[in-house]
Amino acid sequence: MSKLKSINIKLTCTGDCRGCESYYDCTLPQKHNPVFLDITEKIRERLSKVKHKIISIGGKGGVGKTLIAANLATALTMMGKKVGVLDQVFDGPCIPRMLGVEGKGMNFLDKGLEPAVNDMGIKVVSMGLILASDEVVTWFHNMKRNATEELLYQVNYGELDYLIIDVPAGTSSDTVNVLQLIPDIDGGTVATVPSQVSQAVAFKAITLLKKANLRVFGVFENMGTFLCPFCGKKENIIQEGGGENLAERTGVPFLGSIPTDERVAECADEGVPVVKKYPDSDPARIFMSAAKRIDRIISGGVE
Amino acid sequence: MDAKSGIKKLQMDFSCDLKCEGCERFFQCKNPERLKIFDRRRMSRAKKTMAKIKRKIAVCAGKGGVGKSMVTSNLAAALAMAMKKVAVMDSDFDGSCIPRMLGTLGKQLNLTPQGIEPVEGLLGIKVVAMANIMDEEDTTTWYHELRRNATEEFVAHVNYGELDYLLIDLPPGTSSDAVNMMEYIPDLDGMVIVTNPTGVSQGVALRSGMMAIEGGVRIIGVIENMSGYACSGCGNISYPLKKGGGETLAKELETVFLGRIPLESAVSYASDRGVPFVYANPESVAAKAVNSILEKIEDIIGRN
Repeated sequence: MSKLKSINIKLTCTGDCRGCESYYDCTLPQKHNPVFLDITEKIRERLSKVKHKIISIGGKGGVGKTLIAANLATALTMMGKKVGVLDQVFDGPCIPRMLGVEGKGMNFLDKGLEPAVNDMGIKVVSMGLILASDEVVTWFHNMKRNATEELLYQVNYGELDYLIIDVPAGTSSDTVNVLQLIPDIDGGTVATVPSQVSQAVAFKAITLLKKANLRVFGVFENMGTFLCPFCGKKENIIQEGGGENLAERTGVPFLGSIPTDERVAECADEGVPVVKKYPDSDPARIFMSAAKRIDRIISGGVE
Repeated sequence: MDAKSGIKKLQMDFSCDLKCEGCERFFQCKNPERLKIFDRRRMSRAKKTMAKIKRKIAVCAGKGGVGKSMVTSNLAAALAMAMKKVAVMDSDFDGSCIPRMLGTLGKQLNLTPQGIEPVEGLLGIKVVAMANIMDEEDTTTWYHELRRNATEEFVAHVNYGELDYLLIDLPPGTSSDAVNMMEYIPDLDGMVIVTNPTGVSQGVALRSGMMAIEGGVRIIGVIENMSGYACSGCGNISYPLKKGGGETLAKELETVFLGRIPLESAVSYASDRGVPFVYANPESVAAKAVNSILEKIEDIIGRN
């Protein structure tokens, strides 16, 4: 009997860094090959007028990555910024619904693929605008990478202050594609729910951001305290303190605990983020102050 | 936006290289040879490994964090409490949660002449998971090939032995891991779809249902998780994530609605402690819901 420390599934180097699964673990000098750089060059051009890029990550699913992306985008727009959202979730894109552009579609015009624009002027790029609602994507890595490339260098992003990137659960294919292909990402926000199960997975996501040399703006705790609408008792359905704990353990800022609130779910389904629809609610306040804080950090304020 | 030509597709094509096992369009392919090719290259070992497993059920959702692992670990515990021999295969490689929920965190999978030996958790439930291989702080950033190889290891090179049930916990999404699993386990007894009540989650779960249909896998039914919360103070039930999404989804997919599992603080504590609530709090509403769901599943796929 011998303890299993890894499973034997190594791939040998084929020189194709673009498609390599071990990109971030690789230490070979030939890692930066020209073909790869060629594509990033095109993408760089497309994104040349996008000032800042923020990625919303969680590692685990259903912890609020998309909720955070949608609300940060909205909060930044309310602060007078020009904002776009790139939905990198191909299997189950939720951004179009949460930002109220479901069914709008993207059009191919002179300057390339035009993002859909919502009521507030947020530009949305998503697979959900291309697929029918019951159409299913079963892509592996190459198809996903091609899709990521298309959504980057075919799209006319135009001038933007912020591009928020929403990635799916996991730390693999889609996330790595974004980290490799998008140059100069300013940093990322991390979502978790209070449970240890979720913290453990979010920890991996933070590790990945650090591996890619990105700044972690902080941790959001989602599904925090719930206020009983009948008697007003404070209840911690999924425990408490997990977000703060994770932030402390990884040495990154804590951005606040978003309470479990019926209005959050309602707003997500309706397509008007809670930060706009109920600006005085606790969830809205947390998103707004986080957006301001991130904007301050990025524009060079002391933090 | 005048000169409209709304795009319906992105341009990406792969010509056939007859490597069916790595093909991204395995389930869309009409070539009758594909199953034979796949069988010859990869399947024989997997078939042999799983020969003594009576029933195989996958738990899927499309969306993340709606309770796939929670449902899987509780169904496993409920089955084990009914004296069934159960194993759980955690095919979430990036964020493997089953070991924590079934109390096998820190135990290491062993390699024996018979293959990988699963670790045993609560009630003798056998567990095969990445978190029983790598350190908790390690991150996987695998794309498709590595994921497929890992799936193959888990289905073909594990000494499952005789089992009444193998439960497979899938990660979010409808791509790599889900497709790999459907390829390697063509005789799956069915797939259980989990959603929470929100429209957002329902929309994503619908896609996972379409994936099952495309892969020719029977959909056993839909479970609505996080459905209602009973206040510990006044006992009134409120619906922080709304209500009814599961039933709507079951109708859309023309399948059975298996039941709803309420939010309970004991659920989350139990998962973190490694003791599924169906065992830790058998009298709770959530535990009773799981048992009734299991009844319905057995009604559909049969008992032995």
